[in-house]
Amino acid sequence: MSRLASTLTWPLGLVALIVYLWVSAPPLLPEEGAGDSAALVPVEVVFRILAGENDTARGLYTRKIVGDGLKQGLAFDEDWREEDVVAGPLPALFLRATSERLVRVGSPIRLFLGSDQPIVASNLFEGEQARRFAAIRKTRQPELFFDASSGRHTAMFPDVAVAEACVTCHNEHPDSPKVDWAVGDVMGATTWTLPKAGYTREEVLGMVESFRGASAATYDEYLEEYATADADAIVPVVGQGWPEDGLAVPDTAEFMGTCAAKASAATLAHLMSPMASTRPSEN
Amino acid sequence: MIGRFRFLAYALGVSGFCLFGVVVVLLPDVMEERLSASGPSTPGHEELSCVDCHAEGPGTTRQQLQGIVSYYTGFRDSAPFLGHLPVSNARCIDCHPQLRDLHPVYRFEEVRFAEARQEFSAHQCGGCHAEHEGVRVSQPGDFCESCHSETTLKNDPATPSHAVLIEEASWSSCLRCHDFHGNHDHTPPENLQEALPLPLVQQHLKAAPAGLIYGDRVETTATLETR
Repeated sequence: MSRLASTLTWPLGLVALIVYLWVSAPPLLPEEGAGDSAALVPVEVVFRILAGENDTARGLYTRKIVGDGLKQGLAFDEDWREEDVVAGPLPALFLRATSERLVRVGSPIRLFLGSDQPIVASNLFEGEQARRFAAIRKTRQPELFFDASSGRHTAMFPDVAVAEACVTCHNEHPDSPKVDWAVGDVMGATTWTLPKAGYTREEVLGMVESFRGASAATYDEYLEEYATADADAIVPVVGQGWPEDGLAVPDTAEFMGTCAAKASAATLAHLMSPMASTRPSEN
Repeated sequence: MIGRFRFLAYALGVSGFCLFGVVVVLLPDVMEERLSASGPSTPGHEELSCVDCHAEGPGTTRQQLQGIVSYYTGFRDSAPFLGHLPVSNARCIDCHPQLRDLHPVYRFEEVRFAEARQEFSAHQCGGCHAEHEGVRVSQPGDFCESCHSETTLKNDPATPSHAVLIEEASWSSCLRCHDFHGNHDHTPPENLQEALPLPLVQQHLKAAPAGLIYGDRVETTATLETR
């Protein structure tokens, strides 16, 4: 009798488990990121979309706000967030603030800025990033790879000096290790990372929306400097005007509207391209 | 005689089990705290309940078990969590927004910080602030070495210089001058002799009574990772 019981225990247990887990069980939990793999946008394409969005927003800020704003007497300073300083963020800090906001809103995007000649030592590329950046300097092309140490898909895009303000500031900064930058130089690289190899189009659009939202919030914070400025500070008119027209800066709607108008066509083209519906490779 | 002992043993076992069951039913929260927590709370977390940090995973227990079996039998690419989700950075940031942070955890997700990730999970709040150890900081105060062993400053105001301190591997001195997260009203002294005493810093890392040794907390409406 006991022999029969021991013989039947395991099969009966297995049957009970199968009944418990499948036959009478509720629907299976959806798997995160599951979907039709053929419909996923490869992460490489997502990186190019996001880098394009960033190039547009940061380029516009650097050229049209910082570059032209300096000519109108507006200040942009690394200590812009100090209470007694009325200034906008330097372009690198605009990116940093946007990057941090992406984290706070729960976006999977991670964005970093570094160089082989940074003003701040903690932004110095090392190891794999240094090797990849050396290649970027030569080719001026992005480097895309899978970083096993973090388990994240990674892309590095050249960060080019797009305006005289970039090189002037870096060449004159007392902590700058290089003082002969010229417009057009690859001064550093943005590093982007994402956790998955592919994303649905809805997820990609969500990321674009998050990125634009983070950029808008950073620009909002910049404008807040003028709203709380002392009477003796140089304060531009905030509205539809731009610094190239006088002592004015666009409000957030105008600034982000201009960014969207410039970036949307390229973003849509990437999403509609044949590449945007195939599985990515990992190298 | 032997039969009587066996009966007593059974009776004690059954009584103990019943008593345990009654306590679990009547005082589930207390039992969960006592049975699950692996140690004393981090100072300041004493009043938190388990679910304040440990969010429940999606699905029922049965669905989670289904998913786990499916994963191990090759019918699924990832296994769902059974019971509670791991405590994420987002959970910590909900209460500790650290709007002004010189070392936000996300920065350690960058490729080049692999060593810091490997050595003490610098990309996770719990890497330094492990819960249930009864201390404010669970790492010894010399973790700066992981990232700053090659740091050089072009214009160094410190005495002794950072180059000397790094050369001497004086990593316990960093937190005597520097507020790691930078979220306090604190200006680093230029001379190490004017820095906080090491025992005070160590006490601060281990427990609450050392208080705000770096000054009052500074929070702004925006982030202050200015560099």
